[in-house]
Amino acid sequence: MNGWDQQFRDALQGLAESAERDAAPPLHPARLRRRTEQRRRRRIVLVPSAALAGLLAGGTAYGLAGGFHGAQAPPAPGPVRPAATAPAVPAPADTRPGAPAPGRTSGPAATGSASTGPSRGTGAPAPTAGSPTAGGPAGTATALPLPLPTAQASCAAAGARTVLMRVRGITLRQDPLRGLAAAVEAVPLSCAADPSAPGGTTLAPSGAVRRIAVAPTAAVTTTAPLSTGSRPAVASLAELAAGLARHPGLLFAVRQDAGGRVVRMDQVYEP
Amino acid sequence: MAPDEFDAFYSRSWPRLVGQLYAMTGNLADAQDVVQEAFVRAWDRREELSSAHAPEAWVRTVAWRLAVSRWRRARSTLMAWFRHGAPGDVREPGPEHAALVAALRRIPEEQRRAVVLHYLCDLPVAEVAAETGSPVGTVKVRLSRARATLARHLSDDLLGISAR
Repeated sequence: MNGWDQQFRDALQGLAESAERDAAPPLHPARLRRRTEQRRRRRIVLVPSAALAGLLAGGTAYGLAGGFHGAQAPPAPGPVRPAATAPAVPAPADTRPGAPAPGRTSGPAATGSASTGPSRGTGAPAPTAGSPTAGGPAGTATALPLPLPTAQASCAAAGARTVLMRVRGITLRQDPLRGLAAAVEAVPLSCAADPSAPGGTTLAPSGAVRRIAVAPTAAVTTTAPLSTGSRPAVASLAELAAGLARHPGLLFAVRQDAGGRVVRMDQVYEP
Repeated sequence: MAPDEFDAFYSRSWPRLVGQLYAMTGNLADAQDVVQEAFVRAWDRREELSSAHAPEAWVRTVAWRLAVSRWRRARSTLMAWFRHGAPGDVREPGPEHAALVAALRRIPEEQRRAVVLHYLCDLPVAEVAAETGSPVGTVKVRLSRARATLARHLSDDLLGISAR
């Protein structure tokens, strides 16, 4: 240790000692312990009281909103006002020149090929040509979020909760108690063997139309035709609903949480 | 930890911890306040404290976290006023320490913490890293940068301080 360090150490020691000299504990140890016990007792009383108050307030609000009467009834436009609704209609087969019809094999950019160039999907294991489907555990095609509009969908073996889906529409509803309630109508896709397609696989519907709840905070990125520019654009659920009303049946990489709610939707470009 | 054990630990460690937190925060009232609060929490977690190898380090870490919390800092100024009287009642650093306190305030919080743990608490770099939850390399960088800054600001004063 050099001289400066020692001098600095001494100076610091002096400073601390100047504080220690008259630093008798302001609280007697017994009082300190008593204070802790009082605080704990207060917590024990306060927490259930707060929970009960919250329950009462929530129940009252729910009752005032007619929640107890309408609990068994089908969703109807009563006090609930639809904020924005995108009609979940089937996609027209040929609204876009060259676009694949929903429920059919995707176009060349959205093929099941695993060799998709420098996109993030390249690390995913490719389905073998002989296997009819090579989707995730649920038999659906899993895909990694694709960052660029020119990125192509790729089939991955398993793992993430991201599934490729053809989204037909999104419904938004403003719930007075729970806030924004959103749900997508989408067809899950899986990788199917197709010797005529590049890479030997294509994306094909793997089930019926599903209605899946969307988290109000779900992240959405869109590309053409929903947005312009060379990079994916972040969109709100309302913007997505409006866009899907004009262009239903677009391809999305849909990520769901453990509860099955959609937490992220990345549109996959299809030229 | 039994009550009498805790009382002894409290009385023994209080002055030392206040001194260390004073060097870390540069404010005696804040230091007393956060150390007090850390001890209140320590009694609440006495089982955890008993199993800890260094209960004083546990209290010091809690006190430090309380001190750096912005919310706590803003609130503690007001609370310290009520608990310990107006700031005028709290002894300001004497002229022999004013330059050191001012210089310590010039370096970032984490650097100040590393400096106090290393130079005042005499902890080796590895133990500073363990207490702060930082890699050893980071601690070394913090100490080096702090030393450079402090040396710049204390070039003449330090000799005077240590000579007193």
